Amino acid sequence: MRGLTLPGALDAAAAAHPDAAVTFPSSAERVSLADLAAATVDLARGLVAEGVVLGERVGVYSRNNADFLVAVIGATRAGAVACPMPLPTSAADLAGYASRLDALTSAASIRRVLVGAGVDGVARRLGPVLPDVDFLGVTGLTKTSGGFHPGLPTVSPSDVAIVQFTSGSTAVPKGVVLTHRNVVYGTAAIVDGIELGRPGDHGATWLPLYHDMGLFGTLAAVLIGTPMTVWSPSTFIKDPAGWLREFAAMGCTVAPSPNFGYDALLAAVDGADLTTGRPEDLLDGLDLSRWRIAFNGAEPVNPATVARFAERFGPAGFAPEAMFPVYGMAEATLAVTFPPLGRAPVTTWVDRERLARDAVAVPSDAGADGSRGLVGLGRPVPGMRLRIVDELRRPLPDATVGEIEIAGDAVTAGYLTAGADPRPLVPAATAAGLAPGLSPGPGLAPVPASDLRGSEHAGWLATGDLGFVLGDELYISGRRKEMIIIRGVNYYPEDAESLVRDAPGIHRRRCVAVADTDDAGGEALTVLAETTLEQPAERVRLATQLRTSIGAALGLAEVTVRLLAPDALPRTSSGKFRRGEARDLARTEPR
Amino acid sequence: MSIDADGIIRSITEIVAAELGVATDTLVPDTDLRGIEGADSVRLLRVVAKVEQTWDIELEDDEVFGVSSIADLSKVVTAALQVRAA
Repeated sequence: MRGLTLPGALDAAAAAHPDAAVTFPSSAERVSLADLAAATVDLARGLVAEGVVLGERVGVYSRNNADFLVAVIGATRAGAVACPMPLPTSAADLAGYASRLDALTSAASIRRVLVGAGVDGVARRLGPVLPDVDFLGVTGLTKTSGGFHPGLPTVSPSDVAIVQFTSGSTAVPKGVVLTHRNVVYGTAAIVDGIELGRPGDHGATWLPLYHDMGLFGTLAAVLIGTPMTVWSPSTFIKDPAGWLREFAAMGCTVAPSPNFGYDALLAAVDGADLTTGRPEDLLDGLDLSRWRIAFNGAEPVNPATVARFAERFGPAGFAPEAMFPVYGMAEATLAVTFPPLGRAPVTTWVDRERLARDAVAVPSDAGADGSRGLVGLGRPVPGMRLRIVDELRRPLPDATVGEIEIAGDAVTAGYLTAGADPRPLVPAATAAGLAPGLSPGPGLAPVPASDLRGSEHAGWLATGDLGFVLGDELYISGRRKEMIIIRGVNYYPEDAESLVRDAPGIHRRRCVAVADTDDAGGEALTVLAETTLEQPAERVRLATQLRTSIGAALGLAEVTVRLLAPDALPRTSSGKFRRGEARDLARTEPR
Repeated sequence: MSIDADGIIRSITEIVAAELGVATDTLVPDTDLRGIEGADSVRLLRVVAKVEQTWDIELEDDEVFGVSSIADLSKVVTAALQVRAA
């Protein structure tokens, strides 16, 4: 049981590898697992003393530093549910960001947020915007517990450990409910899938820890006592090549990134970014031969990126089989499919039209007109099951496109119910020492994911992704849910619609936003809006305004606004917009 | 050393134009950076990185969070230069 909870697994790792450490170069911290485990105990005591109750959802607001891990694991040790919250990006729109956080804290009924070192300034500015939320410093709480040693509750594997938000959406904040069991099995599947923990292994990440790929990738290494180095995202974004040198110099062997990170590294060495004025010899002296796993996931994998990366970094020792295109999601506590270890990426070319029109994968010539290259994502990781189904959720044969469904110990039981009752009944302090598995209280029972889709197929989670299996390998061809993924972040059309609908110049609040994928696999949002404005200058001004307000509020640049005449949007007899037809309209209308 | 505010605005305008791939004459100090086509969070962070390199300063996340225009960014730079000069 002890090893089947997040804090239990940390304790086991700390006992076996007390000196293994997590390093945070951006904050100049190095924390041994023994110290990390001790800090989570201190924080848990501080939280219980503070009155945190079992099953209470506690926000985690921290940079990529030690406080983040202390907060997540410490909160779960106190019997609470850790809810990582996104940090603002540069030039973020304060109002838009605050309303996203407000939607998230309301959806999860968060009343306490643990604030890590270095973000107190931002947290102070958020205080007035989120008046019902208490911001508590991790350091302060960890110290105040000194002297007072309240008992800690017994946490059971079926208790909820983490609510992972998969988008910062205001309309539909989507919190994936993950139990301790999910987290332990999910991180173990990552470990098994890449044989993490081989002699000399050293994990690395620059992804935000509030992102699922950053968090579970880091926990996978930490929970087996493999050394881990965590940079801040801005270290990578500001200077990708500089990060790569440091990564290589430290002898790191495993690092994840969405596809755009590999593009950024390519741009950095190719001098495509002329303004940085870096010399041509970026690859000089760079030894990437120890890099054995370069996870590529969290957004569509581009075959061109994969091929160019191997070609460009091969001379520096990057092995072709190190590039590791994967499929995963927070709902699976990350990993769904991995390629076989030691195999170079496989790109399969299929007839684009047959794929789109008939939903079948028909092999075609590589690179030919009308061919679409898709990167193979491997097979299910240990403990994960996968199937491709039709609209009635009947399993489909190979090479046929359908929705991907998954099942397994690492798969979520469901999503957080918006506006769920925040108040569990049993305070952690009084429950300490009581029987494990005590009811977590009302409001924490997740909505079964299968119910959300109105399905009877218990145990199978519909992912919303479309794909097919060919030669024992999964390929993703598109998406069924209305969502786009850009740089590993999910965006929903509803949010764009709610921003545009009431803008002056929009005819009768009529607008539809559609998510679409272009032929090259790039994703974008198109907003179709009706207007009575006829002057070209006025129309241009309106379109620009709408794009700016969507960009600022959602932090999304990939937005096209198309203005239409009144009554041009296709609607049903009851007045609902027909999304499918609107998408066709978005595709055919000249830009 | 006195701080040349116009010069800072001019240099930031050039950095923004280069990083976001737009012409300098489409930009004015009040241009909303997030409204520029292609201005995603990654590119904006690279603007900040370039600004830091140019003036050899380090800007805290807290300072650039909420910055929405070239004029805003130049204020942050000016403040950082003043701190350094003091």
